[in-house]
Amino acid sequence: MTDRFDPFWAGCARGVLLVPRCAGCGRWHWYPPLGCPCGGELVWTDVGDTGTVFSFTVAHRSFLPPGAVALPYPVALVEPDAAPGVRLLGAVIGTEPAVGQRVSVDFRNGLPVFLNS
Amino acid sequence: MKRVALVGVGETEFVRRGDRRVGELVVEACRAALADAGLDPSDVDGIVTEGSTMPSRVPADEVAYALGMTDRRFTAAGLVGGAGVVGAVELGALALRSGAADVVLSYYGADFGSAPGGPYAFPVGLEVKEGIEKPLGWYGQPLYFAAMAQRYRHEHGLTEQDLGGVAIATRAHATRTPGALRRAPLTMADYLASPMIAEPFRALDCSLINDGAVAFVMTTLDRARDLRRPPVMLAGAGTGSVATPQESWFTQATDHPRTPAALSGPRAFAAAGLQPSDVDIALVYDCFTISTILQLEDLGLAPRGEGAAFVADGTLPVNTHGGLLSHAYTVGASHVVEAVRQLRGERGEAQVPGAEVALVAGLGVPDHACLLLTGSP
Repeated sequence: MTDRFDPFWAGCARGVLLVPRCAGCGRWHWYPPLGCPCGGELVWTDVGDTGTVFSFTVAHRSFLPPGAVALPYPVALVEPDAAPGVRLLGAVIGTEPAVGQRVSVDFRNGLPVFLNS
Repeated sequence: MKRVALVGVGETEFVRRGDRRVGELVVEACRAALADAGLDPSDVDGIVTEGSTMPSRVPADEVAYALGMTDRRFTAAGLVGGAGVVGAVELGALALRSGAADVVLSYYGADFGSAPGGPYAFPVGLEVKEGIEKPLGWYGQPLYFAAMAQRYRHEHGLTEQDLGGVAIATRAHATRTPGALRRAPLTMADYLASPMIAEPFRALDCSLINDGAVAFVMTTLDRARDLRRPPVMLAGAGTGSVATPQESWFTQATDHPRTPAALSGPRAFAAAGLQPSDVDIALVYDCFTISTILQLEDLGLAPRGEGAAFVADGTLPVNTHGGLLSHAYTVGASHVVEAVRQLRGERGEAQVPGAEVALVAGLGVPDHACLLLTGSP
């Protein structure tokens, strides 16, 4: 883990998804940028626990180090209801992922996952 | 304004996994391109390359030394990946028109087949990949483009036969291309039997991985008239870059799954005074089948949602050498070479009759470069 994402992972450890939000204009930014175009201060803010699957894939081959994942595995881009345009990564579990699917956030081993809702 | 021409092209053999240094491959390709043009290394005073891997892996000064170049007035590295390789022609043209150089050499060397990590070791976005993407399983180019294909499917519909049709049409061209890595004809049954990589992509939706190098030489039309080959003219070029940074583009692009070809294409057409209906052949950066589909639509060549049928039906000949899917993964450099050869009428059984206008499109997110090339004036 690197400094840039430390607040995100610290949030996951206590069960919240934190994303930088501009205190000046209210815009959400992901991934953490160098700054907001308006010049406002970026504050890591709870993005809520519901969203919609924007897109996804199911990987049948891993490009990660051997043993890192069990195949096949799903990975989705999920737009939080509170921050349209931000897309968070994570597995959709307990159901086949689909674009437009409504999901809620949960955590497994400190990682965010998405459940059908 | 000085007119600019591509006057020589060269390639090495392409192999799945080679044992030669990538720089040695580049030097061989450069010598071939200069011989094709009838130029000597001492005639070259400019080198332009893509900006991601070439400056560190195959530096211009090393290539210049090995070629025996005597001086180098202009050296530049541009955008990343396909946008940089294709966009090198626009950058070279700027140097030629301004008088900063008289003869510009450009090259690209690939050793993804033999280098540790292959194409998954691109030195970009490491903080993002290590810090958030790898832990969440988002890693490997097939996954990124697969999610684009899934979104496209949601918006327009996309069957496995649609994707297969692009792979099959591209392979058909490769069967007529000497040196292409995959020359056996492909059927839909072959495609559907290909192993799944990342849904909806099978192996046959994905770029090849190989070693090999490509080079091309440019100069002004005045100089080109005396050279060995008929000049291929740069009619117009355009580059476009969307606001989303490279390392977040695949997940956060505001217009996902569209490409910045929607920006570069209109600029190239305006510069050339041409329209999409004028294009006779298109050479489009096809790292995955969906990449071809998206760019053809973004460039205005195919209607939205119809890119796959456009390729499969042969409405316009696309990637007439076999592309990254079936010829070789040269990150767009062979697309430039193929455009030159088609416009010189050298492609034998693969020659597109009457090809006078070629479009070359290079994707290297978040950037895109587009060229319009025409035959000898």
